[in-house]
This record gives sequence, C-alpha cells and structure tokens, in this order.
Amino acid sequence: MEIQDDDTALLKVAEAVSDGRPVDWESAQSQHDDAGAELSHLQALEVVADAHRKARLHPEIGRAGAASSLENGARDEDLPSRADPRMKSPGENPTGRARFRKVRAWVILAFVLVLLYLIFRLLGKA
Amino acid sequence: MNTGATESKAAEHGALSQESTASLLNRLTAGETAARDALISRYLLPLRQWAHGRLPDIARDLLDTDDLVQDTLIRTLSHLDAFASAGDGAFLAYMRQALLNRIKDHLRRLRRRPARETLKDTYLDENPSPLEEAIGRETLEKYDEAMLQLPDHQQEAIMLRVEMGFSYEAIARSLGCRSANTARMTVARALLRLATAMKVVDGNPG
Repeated sequence: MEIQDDDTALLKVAEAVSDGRPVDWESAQSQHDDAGAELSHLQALEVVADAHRKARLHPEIGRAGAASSLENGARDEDLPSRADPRMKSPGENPTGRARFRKVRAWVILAFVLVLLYLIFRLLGKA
Repeated sequence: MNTGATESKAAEHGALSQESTASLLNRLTAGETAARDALISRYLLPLRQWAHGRLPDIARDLLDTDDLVQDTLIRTLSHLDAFASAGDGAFLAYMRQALLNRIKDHLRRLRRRPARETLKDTYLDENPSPLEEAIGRETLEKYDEAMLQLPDHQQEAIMLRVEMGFSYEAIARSLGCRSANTARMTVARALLRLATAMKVVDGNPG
C-alpha cells in the first residue's frame, strides 16, 4: 500500500512538472521518504523543463521557433506579444499612419487659421 | 484554376497536420511527398529552436544552425528504413540523437581550428550553451544519458513537451493519442521513468 501511495504521489509530482505547475518539494520529500532519490531527480527535471522554457523565450532562440509555436499550440507566454514593438515596422503600423494623418490635418488647419488671421490684420490696417 | 489547386493543397496540408507522426511516416514510406512537407512543417522550426539552445554563442555564430537542422531533418526523412521498423517514437528519438551527434562533431571541429582563427582551446568550454548555463553541464549530460535509456515513444513524449514546449493537444496529434489528457499522462509517466533512469546514471540504484 505504501509503495502504491509513493507511486501515485510520484506520478502526481511528474504531472505537475510536465504542466509547469510549482511543486512543494520539501513537503513531498518529507511525506515520501522512500522515494527521495526519484523526487530529487524529478526536481532536477523541473529545472531542465524551466531551462528549456526560458531558452525558447531567448530573443534569438524564440524567433527561430515562434511560427511553429503557433501551429503546435504553445502557451501564451512562449509567444512574442502582438504589442511588442519589435514585431512591427513603422510603415506597417496602421495606427501610426492614421495618427500621422490626423496630426498633419491639424497642422494644415492651424497654418490656414494663422494665414487668415494675418490677412485680416493686414486688411484691417489697410 | 490556380486558386482551386492552391486551396486543395492547403486543405490537404491541413488534413495531414492533424495526423500522427507515425501515420505521416507511413505515408512518406508509401511515396507521398505531401507527408514529408507536413513533417518538415511540424518539426523544422521547433528543432531549430532546440538546436539553438544547445549551442554556445560563438558556435552559433560560426555555424549555420538552421542549415544544420534542415540538412539533418531532410537526411533523416530520406533514410526512413533506419527507424521505420523500430516502432512509435523512433523518428524523433533518432532526430534528437542525430542532431546531438552533429552538434558535438561541429564543436569538436571548432576546437581543432588553427590558432589564427582566434579560437582558444578552452573558449568553448568556458562559454556554455544557454541550457548548460541554466542547469549545469553535468546535469545536462546526465539528462541526455538517461534519455537514451527510455523507450523511443517516451523519449518522444519528453522531447515534445519538455524540450519543444508542444501543447498536450499537439502532442496527442503527434503521438496518435486519443486525447490531450492521455498525452499528459504519457508525458508524466515518461518523466517518472526518466527520473528513475537518472538515478541509475547517478550510480544510485538503491
């Protein structure tokens, strides 16, 4: 019975490592003395999994895999954010283009208003 | 007409992308080149990412990792007889080992380069790969050695989840599992077995 409990517990820990969920290693070790070696190696595998996850987020390494991550259903934290400015070039940003047009329109309007004001001033003096 | 051909090709690719790796390999053995494209589409970029993590910066600069991965993948797909009869999971386990061997060969060649190419003997040893830096060379070697003790399908499960970050749904598709939960259990059991294998590699069978 104890062996089965250890096996079940170890499998639950392995599931957590696979899911990327945190594990209370101290508690697991204290509750399952006989499975100490397996637990310490599962803890090493948690570090391995985490290292691979971080390596995928590395700027150079992440770009190499981003496209296939979409196809293979990577979790959101593995994907470059859509809001990441590195992912856009200025010419392709519709928001930037629209904003530029708006500013340009206001500048032209301001110029016309100043011009009209000067004309009226001149006519008034005349 | 062209639109129709393109659409049917896209539909075929979409259908193939839902098939298990074993099924795609069988189709490729039967001569279906679309299956080869589906396999390359599935694994080329994750394998590139995996290889980048295994190389120190200097080696990545001196070696075209992407070419290395592509070349190894295409060569592997051309030699299906090497693992076709070995059962489920053999393809990815074979790819992993083939890539590791080629990376080691390239690193050995870099160390042997003449002095005028300004690469010190110890430079590569002092500049670990991103993975070595994160978990230590000793742990990584123990992990790699223990992986070889696992059956191919368990190696594949760990490679897909831990090393490539595939979702359980994608793993279920690749392995031909009934559901994402079945894939999850497969990965968990494989991890447990790997932990036991690492204990053996450690020289602690107790």
